[in-house]
Amino acid sequence: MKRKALSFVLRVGIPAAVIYLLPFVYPNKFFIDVLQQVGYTWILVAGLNLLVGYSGQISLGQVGFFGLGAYGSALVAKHFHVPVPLAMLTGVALSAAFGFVVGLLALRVRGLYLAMVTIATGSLVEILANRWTSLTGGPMGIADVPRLTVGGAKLGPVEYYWLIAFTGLLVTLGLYNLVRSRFGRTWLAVKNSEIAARALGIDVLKWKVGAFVLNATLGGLAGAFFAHQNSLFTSDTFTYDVSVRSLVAVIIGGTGTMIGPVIGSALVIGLPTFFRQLYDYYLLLFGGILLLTLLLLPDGIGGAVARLWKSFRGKARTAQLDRPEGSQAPLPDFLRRTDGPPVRLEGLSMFFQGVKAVNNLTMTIAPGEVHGLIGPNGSGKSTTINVITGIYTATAGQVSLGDETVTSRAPDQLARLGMTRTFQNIQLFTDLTVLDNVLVGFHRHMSAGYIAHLLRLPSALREEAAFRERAMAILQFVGIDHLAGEEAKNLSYGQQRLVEIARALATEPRVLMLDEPAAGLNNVEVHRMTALIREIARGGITLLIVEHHMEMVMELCDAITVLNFGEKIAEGNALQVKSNPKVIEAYLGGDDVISLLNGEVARHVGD
Amino acid sequence: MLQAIVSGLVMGSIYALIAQGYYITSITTGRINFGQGDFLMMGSMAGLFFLTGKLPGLRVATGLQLPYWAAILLALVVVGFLGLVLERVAVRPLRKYLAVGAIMGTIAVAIMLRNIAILLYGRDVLPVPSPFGSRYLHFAGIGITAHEIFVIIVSLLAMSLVYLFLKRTILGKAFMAVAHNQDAAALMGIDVDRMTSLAFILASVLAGLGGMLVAPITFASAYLGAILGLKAFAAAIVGGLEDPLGILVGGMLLGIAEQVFGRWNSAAQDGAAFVLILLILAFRPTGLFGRALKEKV
Repeated sequence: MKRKALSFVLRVGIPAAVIYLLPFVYPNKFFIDVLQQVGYTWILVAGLNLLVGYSGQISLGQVGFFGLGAYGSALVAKHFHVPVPLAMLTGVALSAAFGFVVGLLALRVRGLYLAMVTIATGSLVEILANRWTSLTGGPMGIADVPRLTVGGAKLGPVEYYWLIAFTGLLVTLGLYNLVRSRFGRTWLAVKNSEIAARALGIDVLKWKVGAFVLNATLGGLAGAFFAHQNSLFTSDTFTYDVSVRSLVAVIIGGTGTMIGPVIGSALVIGLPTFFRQLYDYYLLLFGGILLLTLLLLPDGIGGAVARLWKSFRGKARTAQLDRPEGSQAPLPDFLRRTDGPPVRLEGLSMFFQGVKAVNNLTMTIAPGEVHGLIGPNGSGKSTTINVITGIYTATAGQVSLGDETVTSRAPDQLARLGMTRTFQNIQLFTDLTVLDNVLVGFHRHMSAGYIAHLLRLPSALREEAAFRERAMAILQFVGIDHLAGEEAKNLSYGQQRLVEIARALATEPRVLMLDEPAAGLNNVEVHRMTALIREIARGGITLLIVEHHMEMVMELCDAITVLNFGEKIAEGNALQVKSNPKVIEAYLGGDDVISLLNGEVARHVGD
Repeated sequence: MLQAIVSGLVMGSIYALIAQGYYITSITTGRINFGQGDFLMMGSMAGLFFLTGKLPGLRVATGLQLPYWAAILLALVVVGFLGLVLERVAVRPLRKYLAVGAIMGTIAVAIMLRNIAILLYGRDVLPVPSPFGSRYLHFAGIGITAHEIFVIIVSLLAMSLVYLFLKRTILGKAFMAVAHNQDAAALMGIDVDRMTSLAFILASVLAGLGGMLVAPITFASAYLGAILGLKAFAAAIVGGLEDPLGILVGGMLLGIAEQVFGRWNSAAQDGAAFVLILLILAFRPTGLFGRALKEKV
């Protein structure tokens, strides 16, 4: 309780007091005006911070959202004579809709291409603002923009500043709630590994576009506040510099931190103002500060503050939390099932520009059995898993899950049907803790919505707590519950494989595909993994395992399919496959080897 | 219409020339210089200084006036050196960063360069002479200045030289090896650090050359770079960052689109580039000539 009170004072009390008191420091008009600017820039930057820090996208087109919010609100208020708050909402809605469009355009592009898409959309708004003069007034500006009134009286500059800044604080607190809920987890998951996120049932497209819309909403709100700050504004405000400045504020402040946007905004707005006498050297100073921050504080000022805070509190915490070793719990009951469906492949083919990676493969994974898929390197095993789980689109053939044909469905759709997978090259969400990685796995079972998490309603908190318990149960089962609070990237290779399995189990799958679960493990770890997989199989989940570790395959699998050059060359139980000459040939080479194996030399080697 | 296309080719060849710099650094380091436009501006400013011997911002006049070819060469040396500085202070130390941080590093340097240019040259727009004066050619109803022909020839020549350098010389091949696989290149005894420095020097030299070429058309000012850098970036993205020929096509396409839409009105001229880019990326997310990404799982 004491900690909760402290946290409330720190996160709400002190900032609110600072916001309230600032106008009294220099009670002059100019200073209040700067405070207003910092206020709406804070809101603009907070949205961008979420987009960059959590969803892993970038926008160099913030000016577009800011501009649409401003013009939308000002024009509606002026020409339709609606109350200003309503007009502001219209501006925000307009900007959000534009954010939706930009988000869609941004979906397929990455990195620098994404930067260009946002630059282009921002520039188009900029051009409209400057050139559509009959509407916007262009550089001459819009005059007589209605101001906010309360009870008929115009809001004074200090009151207007309070309104903006307290909105900024509310926005920040709301975002803080959001990012430590499943929303933040899901965004970070998408940022770290889109492909793994999809395999866990996350509709990546929806989440990426969602982040853009949220960013645009806040950008529009910032613009609306700007529009009604004075009764006149011109298109000169809306330049590419606004976008660059926003991104600079995010980086200097500390990407992904909650305190970052306000620090960054205060700097990018405050510096040019307070160094006005140094007008001639201002850019040098500004660029220098930016460069020094990048070089010396790699996670920004906010990141440095957070690190200090952590080291200050950290010592007390770690001691009480950690246990030296994990538990050995049985498979949790909620994972046991009797409806593990069969998976059938019929004539499945996958060609890459003429290379027949998988050719006309027909096989059945019986319900509830452990099916092994083996073959030499390049025989098409991983391609098969990738086609079944929807990562590649099959060239021909069919995949069915139970009675349902699911050929080439998206990975997230398949995950929602109960089929998920792990990856050969581990795809963990490296920014998340082990526990949070597993919680992402529960994505398809969680239902508490946006508003519930934004306001931290009891329903959302209850859901979190319930799934936290389930996640811990799974971690106990795989034996790494003592690492729950650790960041996933700090774990050993073997432990990371366990996290991946725990995460996949969290989707409560009916069918689970493991792509080389033993790769990179030492002998002890292989034995533990084998025992673990056997336990999972006993729970009734249909399992497909691609693996090179023959001992493990032979020990675990009820049935084995052998591939070579994309075609099935043998199928049967361990004994049948082991003695099949085609298999031996595929693995070891021609007839000589078979005779060698059957003959005396092999025995010598065995000694 | 034909006139618009010819004018488009002039600007387009400059966009393409600057954009080749994006290609060179992005294949070797995965980074680009977001301040490429300001390096262009420094190129035209340095060239102006060597041509006129004057620094108006400092009220300095040395009285030394170099011939055009010497001014170009010296300006390129200056800009190349700036490229080296950029790589050392703002690219190499930020190598571990995600793309956003690295972009910011180059923006920081660009902002500072802009300030330096203001200090040295003032805030005015300065005319820059062309070696061909204002000679003007007419044929088939099209007008083109001698300087514009010079621009097209020199930028095509420079791009071909870069292309030959990368494909035909040992140094160029070492360079491409780094582009393909840094670790493997390092194991083969190639000095990766030197190659990345070289990449940024080369990119900056191309920008500087673009600055020398464009200045007689647009005039020089400290704020010249922002728009040109963006347009060139657009050209690189249209063509596909990984394809030098694609970038050439992208630049020309962009230049022509601008001039053709410009016949309608000037807002359309400015907007054309951005509409074009959104359309192309909507259908080809890695540019016209870029290869589709396929994630390895």
